[in-house]
Amino acid sequence: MSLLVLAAVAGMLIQLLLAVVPLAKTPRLEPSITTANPASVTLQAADPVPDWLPSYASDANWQVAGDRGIWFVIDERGILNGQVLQLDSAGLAPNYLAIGPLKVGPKTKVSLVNSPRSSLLVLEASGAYTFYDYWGNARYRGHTANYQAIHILPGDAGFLGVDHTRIDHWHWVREGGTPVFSLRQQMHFAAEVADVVIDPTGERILTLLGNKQLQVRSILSGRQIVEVSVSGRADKAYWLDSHQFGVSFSQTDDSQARANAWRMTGNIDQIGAQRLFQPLVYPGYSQASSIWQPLSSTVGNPIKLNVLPLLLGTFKTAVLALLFAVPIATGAATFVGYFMAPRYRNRIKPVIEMIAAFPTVVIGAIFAVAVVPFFLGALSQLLGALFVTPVAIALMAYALHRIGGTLSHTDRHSSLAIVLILPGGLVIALGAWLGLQIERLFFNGDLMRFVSATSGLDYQSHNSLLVAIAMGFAIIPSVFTVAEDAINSVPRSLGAGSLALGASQWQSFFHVVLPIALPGMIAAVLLGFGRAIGETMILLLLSGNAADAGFNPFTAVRSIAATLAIELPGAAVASTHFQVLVLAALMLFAVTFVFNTIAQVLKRRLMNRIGQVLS
Amino acid sequence: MTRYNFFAVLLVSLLPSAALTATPSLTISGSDTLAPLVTTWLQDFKSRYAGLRVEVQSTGSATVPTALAEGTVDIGVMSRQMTLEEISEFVTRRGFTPQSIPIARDALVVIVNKQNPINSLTLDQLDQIFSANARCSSYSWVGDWPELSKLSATLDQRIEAFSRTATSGSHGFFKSRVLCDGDYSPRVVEFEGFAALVDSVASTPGGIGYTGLRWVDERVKPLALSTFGTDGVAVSSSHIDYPLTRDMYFYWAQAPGTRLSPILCAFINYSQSSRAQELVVSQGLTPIVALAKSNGAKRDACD
Repeated sequence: MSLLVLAAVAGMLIQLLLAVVPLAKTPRLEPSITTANPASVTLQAADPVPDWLPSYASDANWQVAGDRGIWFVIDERGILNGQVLQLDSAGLAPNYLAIGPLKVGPKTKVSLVNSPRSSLLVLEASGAYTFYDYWGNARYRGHTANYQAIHILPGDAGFLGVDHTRIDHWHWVREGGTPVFSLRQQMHFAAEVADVVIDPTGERILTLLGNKQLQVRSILSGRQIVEVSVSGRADKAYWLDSHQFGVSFSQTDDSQARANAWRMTGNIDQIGAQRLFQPLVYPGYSQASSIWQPLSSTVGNPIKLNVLPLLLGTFKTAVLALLFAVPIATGAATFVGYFMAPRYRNRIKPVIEMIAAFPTVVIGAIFAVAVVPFFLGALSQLLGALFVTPVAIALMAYALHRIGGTLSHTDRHSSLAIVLILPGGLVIALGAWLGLQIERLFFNGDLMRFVSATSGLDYQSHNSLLVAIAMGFAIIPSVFTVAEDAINSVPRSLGAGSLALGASQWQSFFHVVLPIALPGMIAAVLLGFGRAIGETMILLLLSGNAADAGFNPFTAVRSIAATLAIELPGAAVASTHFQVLVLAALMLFAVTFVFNTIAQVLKRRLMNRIGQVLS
Repeated sequence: MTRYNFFAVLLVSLLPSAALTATPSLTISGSDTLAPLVTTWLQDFKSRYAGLRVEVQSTGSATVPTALAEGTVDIGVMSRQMTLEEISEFVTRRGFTPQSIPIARDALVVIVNKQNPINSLTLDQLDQIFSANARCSSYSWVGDWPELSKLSATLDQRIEAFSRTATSGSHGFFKSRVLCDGDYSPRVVEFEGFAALVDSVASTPGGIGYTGLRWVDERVKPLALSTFGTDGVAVSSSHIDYPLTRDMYFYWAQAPGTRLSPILCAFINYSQSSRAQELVVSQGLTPIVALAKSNGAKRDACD
């Protein structure tokens, strides 16, 4: 039976591993077309020029971006004319805007800009650029650098400037409402760059180097993906689709005209440590950032699959949940396992363990409805109660110690808990009231707003602290049970022996029982941690699912488990997004596996220790 | 005797299932914005086709391309158009492009908390609230309501922006229309459903979010929206001029030269019928019939 389970687990693991295997394959090339007739190779069709365009515009540069189209012509005097067309769903153009006449330099490119403030970008090879607004007025001007040739990237990703053996990628970022071009990266090549072709996804470039080498590079990383040498005078390089590129050779004295094409296979998106874990300067961003943005609806806007925010979110909430749950769970375990009379213990323990049977989705839903709207507002009350309660407990314990002489020995500790319930509730209420008064007096009645205004600390109603408390509730029973078992399995005779030698109950617990039970207690915490990082429903409902990479406990987070629940149904199998999700799932599995294994080893050690003590 | 009884029970229980395999069935999944409409349609449609088995799942628009490519659904309902990437993914798996037809038009309403004195926003301001890279507005992200609208009376609260998760078509529509295909700010909270989103806006003083018209109730305040340089337009039942209106689509897989199953094309044709479009109105959406007629492009899916 156990073999069957093992086989099932192994089968699932293999399935998951198979799904991510393509990520481990280095990009490779396989020849797809070899023909003597270059004209027979069908090229990736550019946006077809609509037949209703004026005849003089039919050979114009025509491009479509979203629901707008643009065409332009530059005549021999360097005068640019064109139109921006608003397309409707039938592909007709009810509204248009005339561009020009503008006096421009040679090799000028015009691009649509997807922004209501500036709709058109005119870029000259000399480096001068102008953003025009929707009414054709020049809004922003600037200068980059002088290039031999420029290639505008689709989707507002900027442009590539070619200068002999170097390609510069400029992208425009916003500085105080003004679009400004900034140099994103420089790519250096071993030979003169003869031609640059951008692929249909706008994420890769095909470069023809010195007429004898073809190299594909990623625009995002600037690194080479594949490379192939060609013999003969290469004439023109082109993309057939996002995975296939080719080159044609014109007829020369000693060779025939021909065309070759190759297909790229393997991890051509370069999903690796850099894209998964390092902050990157994405096109349009002014600084390097770790972004998880799996849905990209447009060409030239690469999907951003940085798992760092997800990992951080997972661990942040798990650690906070442990900070909340461990003191309560181990404290309760200590009391129930060592100090409490067995007749109480036998009732209390099942009750606490019953909470573990509570579906976490119910805890999450209750919190989402009843706690989220009030949580930040009640933070001062919470803090007040948190400060006042320990002080009051110490005071009450002292008082009980003074009056408790009449209670029998074992009953004293058990009844302590019961006696404490009523005044304990009153003390918590007192602490909350105090917190509220302090908030009113010193923080203008809104603690979070005050702290945020003075320190710049951000906060949101869905935050990791809230998740931690809800998740803490969910993991308290499991931590409690294992910890209590650890303490309870220490033979009573040991504690009794030390008590007989004159130790107090606390001394006996701290110096005799705890050292033996410690591995079991640590195992309890590790098991709790393993549960916390795998928890899904509470996070899905309470975390806000915002992939923010920060350590602030008051902002929304997104965990790996919640991301899997949200995005796996929408990710096409074998897509990069799917593979990265499975990889994240494997990371989650690896972490829980390690922690659970350590916990098991520690538990075994506890049993060994007890065995040694008894023998 | 008991043995005969057993066989009789077996036979009787097998009969309907044999009949069921013969009856036509429809599996529809996708946008949860449209789930209520599709359910209403199916109830009406089933009254004409006795014994029709239907299965409706609301899994989000982004799950449609995959489900259609895998052939697990007959019709995918999307609250946005398929992206080029989704179409090319479909083409690589099936070898032809998916078919689509608009079925209704909806407004995506931007809502704020009742306490918020603001009545209208520009799309620029929405971009500043929701976007990480401000592709539309060119202005950096704002976090406080007073920071956003300095002139009028504002709420002294942090802005809490609420959105849908990435599988939702509304998420994609908002991203392309309001964020100019930019990225959502990592601060934007995402919900699995509109009901939870509206609840959160209602209970968070600084909250702002977007939702389908049918989820708007008296606990939240819908905002008038304006594009750059125009007056704010409030959402109305006709949705004309409201900047965030979108068409919703049926998508299905039909290889060129093949015919759809009769029940499938009957249902697609039904969606374009005046009876179905009357039900569209009853759902608080705008019918598509007028648009199709004006284009003269009404098509018959059974051809």
